[in-house]
Amino acid sequence: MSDSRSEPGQEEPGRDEAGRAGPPGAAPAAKRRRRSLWLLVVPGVLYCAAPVVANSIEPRILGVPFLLAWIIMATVVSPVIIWVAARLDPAYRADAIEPIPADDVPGGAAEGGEERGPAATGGPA
Amino acid sequence: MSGSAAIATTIFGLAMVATIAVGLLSARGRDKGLAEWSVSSRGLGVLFIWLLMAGETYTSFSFLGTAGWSFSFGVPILYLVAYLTTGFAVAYVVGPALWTYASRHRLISIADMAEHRFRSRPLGMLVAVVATIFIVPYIQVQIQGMGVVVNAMTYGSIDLRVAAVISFVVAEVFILVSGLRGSAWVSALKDVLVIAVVVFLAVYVSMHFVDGLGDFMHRMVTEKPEWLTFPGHESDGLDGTWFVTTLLLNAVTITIFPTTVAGYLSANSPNALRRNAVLLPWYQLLLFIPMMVGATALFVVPDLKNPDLALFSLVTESLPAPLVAVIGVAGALSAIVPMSVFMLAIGTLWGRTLLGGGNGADPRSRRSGSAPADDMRTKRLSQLVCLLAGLLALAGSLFFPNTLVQLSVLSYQGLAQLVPAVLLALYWRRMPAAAAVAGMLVGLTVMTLLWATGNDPLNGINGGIIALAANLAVTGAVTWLRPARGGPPAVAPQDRAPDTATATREAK
Repeated sequence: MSDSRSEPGQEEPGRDEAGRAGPPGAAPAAKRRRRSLWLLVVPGVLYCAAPVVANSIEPRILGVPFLLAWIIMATVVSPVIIWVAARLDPAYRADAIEPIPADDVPGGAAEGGEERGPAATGGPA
Repeated sequence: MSGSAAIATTIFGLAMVATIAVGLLSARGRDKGLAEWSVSSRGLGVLFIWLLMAGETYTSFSFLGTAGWSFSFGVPILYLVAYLTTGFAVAYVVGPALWTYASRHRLISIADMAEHRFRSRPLGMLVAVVATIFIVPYIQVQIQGMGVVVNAMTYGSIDLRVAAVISFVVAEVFILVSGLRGSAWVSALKDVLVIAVVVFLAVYVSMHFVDGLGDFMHRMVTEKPEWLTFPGHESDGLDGTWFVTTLLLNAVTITIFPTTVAGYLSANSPNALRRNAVLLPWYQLLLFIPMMVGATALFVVPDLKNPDLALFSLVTESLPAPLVAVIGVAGALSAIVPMSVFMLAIGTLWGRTLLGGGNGADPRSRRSGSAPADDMRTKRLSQLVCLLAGLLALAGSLFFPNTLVQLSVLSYQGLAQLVPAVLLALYWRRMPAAAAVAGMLVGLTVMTLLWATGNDPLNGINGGIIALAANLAVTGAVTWLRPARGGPPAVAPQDRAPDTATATREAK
């Protein structure tokens, strides 16, 4: 009982995940440490700091009032930071799926999307 | 009708015909099922995801409200750029996470996902209803925004109400036929126009009305310093605390907006979404231009009665009719694209979860929705709701232009109350349906009370974030007080089937 007919795209994730998960024997990408994701807090911190450390007109940067210059700086720096976070992220390099901790069978791996426990390995559909 | 008005009206008419044509053509040769209509068969690559999601972030508010806030208050409007950019950092993780969960279990909306996660169709229905309550006003805002833009660009010759009806018809025609893919294609047209128009405005306004950007900044600093630091000019509480709390709340909330999620789910791979989190923030730089134009209006039309017209009053005053029309078309498409996705999102929320019998994850509900005939039935129901939601918003904009719009102020705060049930639940296995429902209801109550008693923002703190804190506290308390049952019940066998091959291959 499967409604796969209605959704041609649904096999995609499986194929990508298995096909590009790295060399045999390597730890699945999603399971590796993804420390670079901590960089993703930088944009939020930059903007949240604006009213605290930059709520003034002086000093003006190239004529632009300081608060506005700070926000523009944050808006230019943020995509660069997100790009660095992605480049250092093993899941990005492998085009791996995102781990969903609540979506694994109890008793299987505590987190990560790659172990489904015994129930899942019962053979093809 | 004057010559200028005739030219502008003609160009506007042609643009609307072109929009419908592009929207309809996009569906040629595509699958006719529900998944194609609501999430483009999960087949959009980086380029179309970018176009679609850029189209959703640059709405008619960008032309009207952004310039208007800049004119009236000054720097508080920077919250818009701040939360959108921060939101993309959040979306780097959340987008692929929602995509993974939804594509693994073939889900099409946040209500569908909540139903599946908690194995509870009533919870899915609650999510759908709450989301709808806070989205319909948004459609109305876009319809009315379109009315204002079209009225201004045709020098008053197209009535506000006529423009509202036109926007509704155009958006419904292509969204009903082509679904999300239609929006993505129209977005391509729109994004090209918006980028061209905004770059033009940046050069033209700074040269024509002031003596270059340097002179503009100098005049702002010497004549309008109040606009340049928090809390801005007579902004009634939009201070630094408000800025920080609002940007944090909105940055998280926008990642579960039903329209944003429609974009996520239509991606063909997780990396299409991760790349977008890198690319889309650059688009936000365009938002600084309407802000500059709005501030320029302070020197040109200081007595402007309707601040929302700050941008268009400068444009219609100084430019020839064809250019005014092109700028107006960009503004009109900026209303039509988000409007169409909002209507589609409501249709998708209702079609399966509320009317179509659910997705079968709830053990109490028996759904036979696996047959292609049921898929078509669910799609028809979704399209019907998509039409009705649009009609409701249109009626609101024609007969009660102010009532629903007040509710749209609360959209982000209201949708934020869905974050624990839709997002946190994917990371916290123990959270039961009872905790999600209790938290959501408490959050919505707190938010409504704060707003109704005039305490939003409360000492500068966004009411939505206070409500979300209460929501999370209740969710956590109910989860910890209940005996642990090992998370969601075991998954039905048919549900696991598509994963099996993946899991075995991966285990090697």
